[in-house]
Formats: sequence, C-alpha cells, structure tokens
Amino acid sequence: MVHLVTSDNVEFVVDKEVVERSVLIKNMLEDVGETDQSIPLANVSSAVLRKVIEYCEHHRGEPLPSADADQNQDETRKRTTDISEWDQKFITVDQEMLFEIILAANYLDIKSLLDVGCKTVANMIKGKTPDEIRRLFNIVNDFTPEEEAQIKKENEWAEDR
Amino acid sequence: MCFMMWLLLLGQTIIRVFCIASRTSMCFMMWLLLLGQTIIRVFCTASRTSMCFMMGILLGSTVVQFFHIASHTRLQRRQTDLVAYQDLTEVEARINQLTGAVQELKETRNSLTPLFKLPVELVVVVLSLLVVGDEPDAYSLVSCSQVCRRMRQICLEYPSLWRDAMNMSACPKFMEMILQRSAPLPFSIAIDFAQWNAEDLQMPNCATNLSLVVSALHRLNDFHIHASPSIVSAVLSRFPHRAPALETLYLGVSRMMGDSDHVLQVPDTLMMLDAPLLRKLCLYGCIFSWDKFAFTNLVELRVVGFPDEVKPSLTAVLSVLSNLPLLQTLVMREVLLKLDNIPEQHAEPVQLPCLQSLCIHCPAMDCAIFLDAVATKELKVLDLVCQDTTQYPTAAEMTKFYSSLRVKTRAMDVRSVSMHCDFNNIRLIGSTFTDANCEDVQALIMVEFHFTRIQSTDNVVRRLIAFTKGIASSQVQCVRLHMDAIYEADTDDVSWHTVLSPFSSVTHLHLSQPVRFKILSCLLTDVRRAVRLAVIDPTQSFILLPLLALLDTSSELEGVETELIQQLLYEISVQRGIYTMVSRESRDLTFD
Repeated sequence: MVHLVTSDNVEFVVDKEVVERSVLIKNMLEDVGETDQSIPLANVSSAVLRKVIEYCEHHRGEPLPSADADQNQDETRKRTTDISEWDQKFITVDQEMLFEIILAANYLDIKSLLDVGCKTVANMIKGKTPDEIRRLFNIVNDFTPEEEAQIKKENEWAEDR
Repeated sequence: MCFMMWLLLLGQTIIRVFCIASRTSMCFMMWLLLLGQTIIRVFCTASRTSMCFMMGILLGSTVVQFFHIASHTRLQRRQTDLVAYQDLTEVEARINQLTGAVQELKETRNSLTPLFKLPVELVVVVLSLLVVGDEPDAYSLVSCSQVCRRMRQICLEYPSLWRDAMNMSACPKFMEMILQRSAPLPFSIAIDFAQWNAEDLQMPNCATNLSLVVSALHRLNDFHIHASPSIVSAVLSRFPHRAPALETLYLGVSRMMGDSDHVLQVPDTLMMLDAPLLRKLCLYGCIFSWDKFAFTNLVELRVVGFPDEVKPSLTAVLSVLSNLPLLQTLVMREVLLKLDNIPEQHAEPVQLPCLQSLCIHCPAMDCAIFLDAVATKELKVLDLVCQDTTQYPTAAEMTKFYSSLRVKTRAMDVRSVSMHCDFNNIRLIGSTFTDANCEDVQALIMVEFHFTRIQSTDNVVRRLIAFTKGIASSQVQCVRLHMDAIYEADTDDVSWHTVLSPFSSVTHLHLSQPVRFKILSCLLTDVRRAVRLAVIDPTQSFILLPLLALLDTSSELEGVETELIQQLLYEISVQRGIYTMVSRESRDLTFD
C-alpha cells in the first residue's frame, strides 16, 4: 500500500498496483524503494485525487503505455476523439473539476486520463461558434476594435460557406 | 432672535457645503429654495414681525449667493477640464489608454478561467484534437482563434495545428488561410480522385485548392495524386521548376468516365524538377522520357503500367539506374523492356550497392538479362513477374532462365524469390529460398499455384514439375492453390498428386476461390495421396478451407457427394493429426 498526502493535507492509502498507473509515482517508488513514508502531492487536492484514484482503480491491470510506445500512443491519440462509455461517465463533472483532473493527470503523468480529459474538452469545443465557446468557458471578448475588424475581415469567407 | 439668526447662518453654511461639495443639481437647488420659502412663511406667520421680513430678505440673498457659488464652481471645473485636454488627440489617447486598461483587465480575467489554468502545451493538445478523428472539425479551430487574445495567440503560434487541418475539400479561402497559418512547416497532400466522377471534379473548390497547393509547392514534402490524366496533367503543368522540400512524389493515373486518355505523358520539365530531397518517386500509368530522368537521390523508384508500345530500352533504364546509387527499392511492374539493341554481354553491370528489393516484370529471358546487367550486394527480395504475351519460352530458354536465376540469386544472397509466370494461361507463383546452403533462413517458405483457365494439362504439369525441381521444394511448408476460373474437371485430368508430391514438408494447405465439387473431390483425392508422403509436424498442421461453406450453399452442388468430400477431409485431418480447422465462412466444420 502507498500513502499519499494531498495539498489539503488528506491522506489516502492506495494499492501499489493502482497508484502505479501514475508514471510519476511509479518512478518515485522505484527510486525510493519500499517505504512507509507518505508521498506528498502538493499540486493535487483531495477531491481531485479521489477522482483520479477512482479512474486508476477502474483501469487497474490494463497495460501501461511503454516509453517506446509514446510515439504510437500520440498517433493513436491523434487518430480519434472517441471516449469509452465508462470514461465518459467518469469525466462528466463540473468544468472546474474537469480541468483540475487534467492538471492532476498531467502532473501525475497518467497518459490515458490526460487523453480522456483533453478529448472531453475538444469534444465540448467542436462545432461551436466563438461566442458559444466564450460562454462555455466563461471567457470575455478582450479584442480591441481593430483586432475585431481584422478578424472579421480574415473570416469573411466563413459567412458564405 | 439670536437663535433665528443662528439657524439662518447654519442654513447658509449647509447650502454652501452642498454647493461646493456635490455640484448640486438644479432639482436639488429648487427643492432647497422651496424649503427656504416654507421656512420664511412659517416664520412670517408665527411672528409677523418686520424682523422676520428682514430675515426673509437675508434668506433670499443666501439663495442668490448659493446659485452664484454653484454656477461659478461648475464653470471653474469645465475650464480646468478644457485646460487639461486642449488637444483632441490627447483626449483620444486618454480614451485609448483607458480602453487598453480595460482590455488588459479582461485579458487578466480570462487568464484566471479554468481553461487557461492549463499549461499552453495542453491547450495545444486540446486544439489539435479538433482536427483529427472520424469527424475532424477544422472550422472549430477557426472559431477558437476568434475567442480571445490568448486563444488566438496559441492558435497562430502553432502552425502544426493548421497543417493537420488541411483538407482538399475545404472552401478555397479556408484552404488559403490554412496554407498561410501552417507556414513555414512542410506539408503533405494526398488527392485521390480515382473514386470521383467527372461532375465532382468540376467543383470549383477542387481546382482552386489544387492551384493553391501547387503555389505552395516549396513547402510540399509529400505529394500524392491519383486522378484522371487530364487532371494530373493540369496539376503538373503548374509545377514550378523547383521543389526544395519535396521528398515523395506519387503520380497515379486512373481512367475516368468520359476521359478518352488513360495514359499520362509526364512533361520533361517535371522529370528535371529541381528536388534535391526527393527520395521516393512512384509513377503509375505514366509515360516519361527515361533520358530526361534527372533525380539522383532516390531510394525508391516505382514505375508501374508503362504502355507496351513505348516500352523503354534496357540501355535507357540501366542508364537511369546507374545514377541512383542510393536506390533501395526498384519496382518496374507492367514495364516491358526493349532488348533489341542490347549486346549479348554487358561490359560492366550497373552497381546498385544499396538495392534490397527488386521487382521486375518482363519475359523470363528478359528478366535473366536484366539480372545479369545489375550488380547488387544487399538484395533481399526478388520478385519476378515473368510474362510473355507473344510467345512461350522454349524448354531450353526456361532451363537457361532457371539456371541464371539460381546462380544470380545465390550470388546476391536473395532471401525470397517470388515468381509470377504466365505460361499457357497458368500463373505460377513461387516464393522460396534458392540457396540450399543457407541453413539459418527463418522466413516462411511458400509456393502458390494460381490457376486461371486450365486447358492443356500435360504441358502445364510438365512445366510445374520443371519449376518445382528448380527450387528447393523439400523446404516448402505452405502451398496455396488459387482457382480463378471455373474448373471443368471433365476436360482435364491434372494429376494434382504429381504437382503436390514434391512438397514433402508441406504443413499449410490453403485452398481459395470458388472450388467446385469436382475439382475439390479430385483435389482432395490427390492431396490425400500427396500428404501421406509429407513429413508432418502435428503441432503446427492446419488446413485453411476458406470457402468450404460453398459446398453447402451453392446451387451448383446438386448431386454432390458431400459425405464423400467430408470423409476425405476427415481422413486428411486424422492422417495429419489436424486439430485446428479454420473456415473463413461463419459455418464451422463438424465431424461425427
């Protein structure tokens, strides 16, 4: 079992097999060896880590992408934005949590979870207008009138398509 | 009275304070006036003394004073403002300054939203996912570039996003934008119009996009076009003389409806294109001048479907090859060589030190001559397509060919030979190792018999046997039998036993194509006889019978002795210890 301590000082005790889906922790454990000491995860809150562990539990035992397969993995990731049914349900969270999960997956180096997160965000954007994307991500239009005019001019073709 | 005076002074003070402090509005002042009047009336009514009247006058003067002070203050302020911004441009600059500050605040605000808490490289990953998958949505990428400054900056700073969004069916203006934004990255274009009909090709988008791509040829590193000769010609006519990034060029010609031509004449200018990085050149269905061929750094050259009437001379081909020292793969299929002026002996064979794979397609004797004319060190795969449409080679010629091939392949350390021969309408495909001394070979050793229209069998069998004697048939582990045409068993008495029996090590037997019951029955009988001779490894043996279900479903099978066939199969399986039987059809075989 591995002890993990989150940024809000909550301790989680997780199966080694589960937690080793994180390349960061796997490498850490390999470097340190068997230890009872807790691993501090300063960038991950307890709420987010709970979700991450849920994901790792579900995908326990699945083959980890090897370092050599990175290139292929990237290719695979590029080829499709499909997400499995369980993953889709898992990632159906509020936007703040979604981005927190992505950040945690990036920090902990869990490629498959990072993929799921990025694909989800991409799927949210697909087919939307700039206004809709602004509303979606609570972004305001910060272009100057000149920039607006420039953008409008360079995208005149889009109105006829 | 003193109290009244005091009250009045207090009122005056309050009014002044209001005037000065808050630029009291007209309404408020009117209200105060009314209030003052009311107070006077109250006082007048209460005491009706002249003193009260005096006080009224005093109050009136206070009000007048109040108005004076108020208007003076306003004027003073306006004058101060005008003094501060006497120049219009200054005012505008101030406006801009304030607008800029607001926009900066908006930008800061955006940076605090969850999306932009992600590092830029992750936002790029998200954006790159918009243009991949089954439904790539390049227009969403355009939308993203219009959301806010930060998003736009990311979109424009990563040209790879736009390169991946490239789509030949996009509207030309969009294509233009993509080409512009993907600069300076090299890009690939694959255009396959082979499946399109002529009407599709008249769509303005295609023509315009092709022009745009050609205009950006300096960045093109992989260009693949498969279309009708007229379209490919149109594209080629616009090629510039220099393509500095081009690494792969594929020109394929397909016959289109309403297109009378089906061969493309490649302009000489293209064959002399300045493309120093060009490594792979594939020309399918194209005619070109071999003597204008100017590419020297090729590692792969494929020429397929060169029309017979303009077949190149062996000398011209060898001259081109002599300038390609880096060549690793050479494919010349459906390219007949003209040997008229070839001397019997070549003084020096053309050196192809890097050549690993060679496929040539010409009559057997020409293959032998070609093989004599090139010297290779690294050749691993030799694929010979031996076809003579005019005459059959004589037995003496064949013997010479096999002999030449054996000598050549041994000298070249060839690992695999594949032969496609078409003699007397029989195609025979063999793939084996010819160097019997090479004991460490690991690859599959396979022979394929591909039968089309079988007519005269004695001659066929003799040739097959001649061929099988020419190779190390005892090493063959897999036999594939293909039958394209309906086999008329009644007119034929091929002894399949004779064909198969030299392959004493066969462990894989593959039957394909619609096999009618008569040939199957005949075949199985011979196979049964043949495999009894085989050295069997029960752990590896299996039979592939991909179309066996046809035995049950075809209307041709009336009166078929199905039981007999099953019995034969059963005998073979028992004889050979077969425990795996695979059928490509869903129906599995079962034996009682």
